[in-house]
Amino acid sequence: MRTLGLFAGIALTHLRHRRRQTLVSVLGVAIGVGFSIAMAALMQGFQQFFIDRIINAAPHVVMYDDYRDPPAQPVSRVYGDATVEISGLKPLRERRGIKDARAAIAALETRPGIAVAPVLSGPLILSYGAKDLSISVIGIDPEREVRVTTLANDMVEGSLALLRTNPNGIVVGSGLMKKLGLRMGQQVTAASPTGSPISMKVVGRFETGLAAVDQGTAYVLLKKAQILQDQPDAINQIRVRLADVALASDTAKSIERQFGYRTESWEETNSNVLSIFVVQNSIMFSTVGAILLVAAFGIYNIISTVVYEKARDIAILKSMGFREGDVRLIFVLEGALVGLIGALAGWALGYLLTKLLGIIPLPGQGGMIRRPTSGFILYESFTHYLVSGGFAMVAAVAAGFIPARKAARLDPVEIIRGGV
Amino acid sequence: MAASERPAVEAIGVTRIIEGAVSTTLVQDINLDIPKGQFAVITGPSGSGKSSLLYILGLLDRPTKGSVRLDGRETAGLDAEALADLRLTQLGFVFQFHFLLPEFSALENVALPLRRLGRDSDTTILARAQSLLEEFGLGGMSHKRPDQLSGGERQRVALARALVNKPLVVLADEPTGNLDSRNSELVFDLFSRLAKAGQTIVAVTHDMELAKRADRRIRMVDGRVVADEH
Repeated sequence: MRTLGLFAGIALTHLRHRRRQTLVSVLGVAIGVGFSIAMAALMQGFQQFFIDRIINAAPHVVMYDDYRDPPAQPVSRVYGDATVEISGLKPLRERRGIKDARAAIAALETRPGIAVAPVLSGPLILSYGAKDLSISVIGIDPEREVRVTTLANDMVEGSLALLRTNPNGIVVGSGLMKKLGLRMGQQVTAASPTGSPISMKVVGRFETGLAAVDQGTAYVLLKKAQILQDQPDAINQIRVRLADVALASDTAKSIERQFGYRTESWEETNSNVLSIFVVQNSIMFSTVGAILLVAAFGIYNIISTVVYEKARDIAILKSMGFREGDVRLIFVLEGALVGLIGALAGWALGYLLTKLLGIIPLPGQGGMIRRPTSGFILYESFTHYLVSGGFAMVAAVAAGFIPARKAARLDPVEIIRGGV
Repeated sequence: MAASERPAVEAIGVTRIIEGAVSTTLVQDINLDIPKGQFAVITGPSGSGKSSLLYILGLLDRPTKGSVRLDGRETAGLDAEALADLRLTQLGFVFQFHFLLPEFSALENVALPLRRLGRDSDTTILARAQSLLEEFGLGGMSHKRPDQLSGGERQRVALARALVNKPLVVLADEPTGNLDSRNSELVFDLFSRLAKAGQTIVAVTHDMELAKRADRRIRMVDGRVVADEH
């Protein structure tokens, strides 16, 4: 331990006597670490917020009334890949919706940690004054719906209780209300492509933060949706919320296996967004990795210079009885010291940058996602500090190791013979 | 053989050849033993192999043939780490150019081998280093860096560093080669004084006048010992 202090002292002395080079190397590491922390907070903040909104606002698993692979047609079953011409064929008019939906709901409710709600969703034209808007209407059972989504919490005006007591009531998103110029209690005409127009009363307004949902969705009672869509007793979605969201993917697969209907977890539904996050993260880590790599080259450069300049000192130390490992350790410690000081400075820089990003006012609230703050949405985690600091230390030690190995192998006799 | 009778250092049939396009023989078939407490000098013209022999005796270089014994212990089969440990505990070096670490003070330079040994507390180490500097008339210079000292002072600091671990043998390679006559006298006075106190010293020098002050003069020519005067 005492000798380690001696080696660290020698390493520190070398660095102290090359202040400018050391400072540049430390700054390189600090910038890499600092930006890594700030970018991770920024990226993860946005991604976490987005995912939280999806997880909270939407059900974790949805069973639809269609199949992942279309069922094989009778002709294909009989003739296989043969070419068959059939004329005068009329497609079978199948009753839409999930068959035996109530039995399926009852079966699902026996599973532990699951809440289930039936839904009939479909297209709807909402007319108010001179404006017509095509939206998606969701017929819900309010009592069950609140168990699978955060609709009750997202209500900013009116309530789901009013929907329950108003058979012709409709709950619309904030964006939609604004687009139509609607107010609470006003009547609006709703018409589906298959049903007759019905006059409905606005009994509530919700806001999820997801612009696409708030501008294009309305909720009515399930019965009313069935009338609007001309699909009596039909249910085309069974929405599921899980006590443990991590089980969503497995649960979706298991439900699909049990009932045959296409069942998607929230990850599958939002796979396009999640894949963008993967790309975003790859870009972020590549950029930060490149910064730290440049910093590592800086460390390699300074330690190589020190080894070159200190060849005579290395010979002295070895003649004095310092082992090859001791010399190697001294120069590796130099790399580690630059890495450590750089990482600590980078932590401070990262903290300040993150705070700065949090208070910078950003224009544009009308984007894809409504932010809860005026600045960037940030996710601060000690893990970001540990990962970036750890990566910087590994890079610094690796950068120091190559010249350190060279230093350890120097032949003292050759250097001493060379004189000054 | 009793421990006190064993030579401090012995060279047994030592030959050192540097292999290359043209092989160079640095020293050839040297048989030599330096008893404990002896002040021996190796003299000879440039290129006679004096320094090469000194580096082999000091375990900085390995002989191509033959072996070196330190206090009766065979060193031929030892690995680099064991040799480094022997240099740390049994040997002390002084070179022509002082070879002090420039960023460290005189006191820190002297303390380095003891700190590497790591056996004593820092207070004990610094006290020992300070007492050696005082012994060599450098008590007031302990906090000066090498560039703030004269050539003679630096060489005395280097000698103090060589002695700080109480080595069996001090090996000096042209220790006065870079000093004026007054400082050269001073360094050789120190060597004589140390030898009288029982310290084994092997020094390489060109200076025949100074060599006369040693207990023994070994003359080398073309890598061989040609004279050995006691």
